Amino acid sequence: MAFTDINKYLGGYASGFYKYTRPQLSVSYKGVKNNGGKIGFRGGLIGNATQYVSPDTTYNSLNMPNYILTISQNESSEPGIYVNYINSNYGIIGTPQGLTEENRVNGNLGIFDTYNKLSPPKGIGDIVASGPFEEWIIDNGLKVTGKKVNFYLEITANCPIIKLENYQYLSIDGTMKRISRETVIEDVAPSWILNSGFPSGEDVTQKYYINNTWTTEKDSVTTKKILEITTKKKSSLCLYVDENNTSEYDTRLYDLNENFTIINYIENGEGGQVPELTENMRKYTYLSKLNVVSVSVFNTNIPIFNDLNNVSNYLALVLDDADTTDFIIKNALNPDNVITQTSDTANSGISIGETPLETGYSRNVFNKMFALDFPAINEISGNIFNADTSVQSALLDGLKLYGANPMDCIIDLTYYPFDVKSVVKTTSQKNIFFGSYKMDLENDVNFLGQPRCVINMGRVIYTPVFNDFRDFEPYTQFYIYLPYIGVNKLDISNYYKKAMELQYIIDFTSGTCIAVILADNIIADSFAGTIGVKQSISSIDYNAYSQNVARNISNDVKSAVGGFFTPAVKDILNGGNLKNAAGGFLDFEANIFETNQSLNSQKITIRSNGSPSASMCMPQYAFTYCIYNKQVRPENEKDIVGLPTNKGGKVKDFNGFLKCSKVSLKSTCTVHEKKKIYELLQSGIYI
Amino acid sequence: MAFVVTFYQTSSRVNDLNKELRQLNQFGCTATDPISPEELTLMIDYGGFTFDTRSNYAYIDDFRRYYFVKYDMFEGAAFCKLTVDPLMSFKNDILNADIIAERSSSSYEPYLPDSYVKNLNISQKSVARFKNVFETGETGSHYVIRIGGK
Repeated sequence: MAFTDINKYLGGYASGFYKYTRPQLSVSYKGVKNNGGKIGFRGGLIGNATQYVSPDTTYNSLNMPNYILTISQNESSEPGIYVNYINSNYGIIGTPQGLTEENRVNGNLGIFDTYNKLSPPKGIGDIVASGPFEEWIIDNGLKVTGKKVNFYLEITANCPIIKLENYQYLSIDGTMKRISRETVIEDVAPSWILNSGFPSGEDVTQKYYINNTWTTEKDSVTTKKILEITTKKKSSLCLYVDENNTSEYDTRLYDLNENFTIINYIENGEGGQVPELTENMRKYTYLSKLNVVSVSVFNTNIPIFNDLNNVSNYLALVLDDADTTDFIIKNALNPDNVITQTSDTANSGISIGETPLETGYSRNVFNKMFALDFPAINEISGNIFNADTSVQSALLDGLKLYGANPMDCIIDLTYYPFDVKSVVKTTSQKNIFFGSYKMDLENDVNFLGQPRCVINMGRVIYTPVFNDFRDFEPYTQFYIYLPYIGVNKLDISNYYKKAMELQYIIDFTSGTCIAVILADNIIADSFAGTIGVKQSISSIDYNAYSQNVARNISNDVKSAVGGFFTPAVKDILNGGNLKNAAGGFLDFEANIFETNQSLNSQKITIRSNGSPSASMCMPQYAFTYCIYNKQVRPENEKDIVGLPTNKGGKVKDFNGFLKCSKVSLKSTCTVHEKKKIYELLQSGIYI
Repeated sequence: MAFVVTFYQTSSRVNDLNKELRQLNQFGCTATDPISPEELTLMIDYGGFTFDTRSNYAYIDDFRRYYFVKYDMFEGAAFCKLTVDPLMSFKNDILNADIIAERSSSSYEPYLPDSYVKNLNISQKSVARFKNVFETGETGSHYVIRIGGK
């Protein structure tokens, strides 16, 4: 008899403070029996089962037994089919009080006895019942009357808080043919989980989309928790960890889009299959080996690594070796990207994150701002400069308030390199007022509800290279390139082993921006720039704008030519053609490093981008880069001359080489000998 | 003054606090002139016993001190110069001495600068890119117009 290992989890479990889901397992078989008589089969589930206290009290009800196995005869059109439990062993764990004759008749073969064991109620996740789930066998159990009967057999599991371990379906004997393609786990309604440290959901900062939940598994040693979570935002991944922990961790990343394949497994921080970057690695299950199952921290964006060392480094950062009841994952350690020299998977579009930064409110009643796409602005321009003089006449009437130059009514027109509608609350309309003149439009214009916005550019984590003093200046230098702002040097100590979050605050009134860099959610740096590209409406605008740009270039950009730009960029700064410059800009990142071959003579120039329009040709994403020297450290240094320390104690507290800066010796030796001992200790001895 | 000298062979480092010793032989000596327990010279030509030229270390129990041994041979006699090894001689005192360690093999602080690490004139770099990008195409970007009017 063949066994089919379905290797799936049955039921679902959700702890803590997020919504409970109730997946259901079901498999169907179809049988045909000719000429009446009895048919039989051996089937069911074998393995171990464990039932947990559900977070949803509905399913802990004393009045509600939890069926885990049901045989039904749906779609049977012929009379006379009934289930006869001759030679049957019923699958059940716990005590069998729940298995009544009525249940047997109804085909409910396996029932968890939850009645007695829930009094007094236990905590969420506690084991209610556990034990082997036996094979059930029905030999000649189905008596069929009639000459030809089609019937169906469904085996369903309907207990939401069950984990079946190492269980298998026995294949159905005889004429039964499996008709469901595979074990079906019922789609559960998506629900939201709240990122909060409290069961009540207070202190919520973000909410995540949960697609399905899986079971927990408890034994006397460890608890494993499997949870699949995706966030609603594209490319957002989730990382979770339990509130309490031991010093041991098994961490696994699953790719659920590929049949629940383990794509990375790390046991106690060692080993593991390193995943390759794939498009569908957007959804993960993160499994940890912990004692307590309550979820305390959710983070988006599990990093994707392409190097095992980076995996180890990351885990060393996020997993604390010490036993602690505090959160063991630092909240902010959720980088979006690979910390290597290879590029990340392609990203497009601006993803707006919820931000800790305040967005202030102001509204100007004498003028209004609208976000428009190109067709809309083109339509407005066409209307103003329409050959129909009646339109212009009406427009001029509406603009009398603006005196000699009616174009002063258009106070500002600025281009922004992002979808304004997606970052600011807008109201769509099909007309716009110029003074008191109402211009009807075919295209939508979007009234801006706020004069500024915040754009979350993502997170990266600064991963130390050496894990010692060389990770800091002057041995390592840390820079950030910010679109529309430029290259700036950062103090590496502000970001060491911390998550960097970059947010752009953009002022639509002036077109300026401030890039705020947070280190573990604390503002560490900010830099200002100009992101809005002013569009000239009149010659006055043009002159003012061009002079401003020219001044910026003169003051800032040209000073950087020697150290930074490619010859092509220098070319355009010196009046060359744009085509050459474009090629040069493509080499931007590479050129940074070519010009900084040595920290000993590093030439990185801190400068602003000057013109926002020119900045549009530069990289449109921010990136950090560390530059550090290669070094030679003697392999036997530690044994021969030790490593630096400044610890105090007695000589006997140390082993191996010891060199002392200060010595206090009490001895009966002579003064000369004492002096010699001092000299030896200060030059180094071996203990 | 009579005393006994025990000669050893050792391959330990001079600045080893604990030296590994292999005993060779012992001689009874008598001093005819004043001697210092820190440094003394012996002439060994005694009763047919021959000085073992492998000797490079010694111990004199009367002085409770260990010595480094340097010798000269002359007409079958060995002239040994013994210089005190204060590390072995006062080992227990030293082990209990209070110190501030500057360098150690067993207890160290990786974030203290280390002068033994030498820079090569070759730099390396690592890059981390923030995920989101600005869009400069016609789609995904917007104009913002500010207009006077109600």
